[in-house]
Amino acid sequence: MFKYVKRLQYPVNIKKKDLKMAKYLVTQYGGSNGEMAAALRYLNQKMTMPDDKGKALLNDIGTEELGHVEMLETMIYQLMKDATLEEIKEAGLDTHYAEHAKALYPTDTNGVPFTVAYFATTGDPLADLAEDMAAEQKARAVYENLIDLTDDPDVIGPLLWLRQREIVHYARFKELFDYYDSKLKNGNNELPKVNNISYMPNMNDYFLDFNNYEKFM
Amino acid sequence: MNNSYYDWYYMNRNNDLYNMNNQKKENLFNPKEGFEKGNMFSNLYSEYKNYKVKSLFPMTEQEKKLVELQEICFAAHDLNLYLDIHPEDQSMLMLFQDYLRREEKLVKEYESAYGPMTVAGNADTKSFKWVNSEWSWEVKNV
Repeated sequence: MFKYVKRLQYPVNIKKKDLKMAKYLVTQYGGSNGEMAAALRYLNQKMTMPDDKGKALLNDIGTEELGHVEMLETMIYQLMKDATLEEIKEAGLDTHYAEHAKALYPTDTNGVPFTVAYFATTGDPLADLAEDMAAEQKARAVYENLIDLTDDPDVIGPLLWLRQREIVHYARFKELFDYYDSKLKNGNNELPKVNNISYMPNMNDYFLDFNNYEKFM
Repeated sequence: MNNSYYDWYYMNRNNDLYNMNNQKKENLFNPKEGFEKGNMFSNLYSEYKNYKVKSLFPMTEQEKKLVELQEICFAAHDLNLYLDIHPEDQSMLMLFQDYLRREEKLVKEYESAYGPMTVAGNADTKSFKWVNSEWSWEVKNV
């Protein structure tokens, strides 16, 4: 379960409204490479990681990503909260205002609503971790694009910080990927695969036995 | 004059005793620097273009204490991710535990001065302060 802690992971204190920037930033909230997709991706994939290291890493990075969702929400809220209706229209956020006023709603920059189609869970640890590594790299690239689009230090600060977290997460996922990969290459080809029936001698074993997976590691 | 753990920590946080005499920990930033950079591990750190990290300037006593708390929580968390896949690293575990102890003290001091950080922080309060202590997304000066 989760407990709420009344603080951000890193301070967000934006004093100057900037509706254009709010419109761009929303993609890291509800877009395909955004923090919401990251959090849900890892918190779903953690269930079928083959050993304790994988379960722990996916769980803990997924949890941190929920904190990043809140940072993005805070940035967008602070960028929008003092805007006038005229400014909202001018920035092209009138279509957002029509349905949501100044409330938050997870979409990408073009207003496409968040969807779980943005991520996968295959049950194969190598495939899932390869997706996670790609997701971190894509999010890093998007943060760099966003940094290029502003000159407000109050916005650049948290964006640089979030970009750095993508780099750390990528490195940890890659370490875990390499660890599983080397196990496979060293003849230890029992790295659990949900669909591998070769070591399942009878029908009962077709049902997923998560306890058995750990024995193979 | 330094009568609180906060004061002690604030004055000493730049001389990280824990980074000395240990090869592995030479790769680590101290909690203040690591927090500002968003990365405790100097070997993983990578800058974007020539952007410099934002220096934080907490103005009020409360903001100062909040940033100190965020620093130590971040340091513990980044070590946590490392330990997830290197649970056998005893020296890193000891440093992690030291950060956790510091975090616990800082949270207690913060909550007694400014109200609960988690709803459990209401255990000894006369009224239900959770509803009116400051929320995370409100603008501060930092």
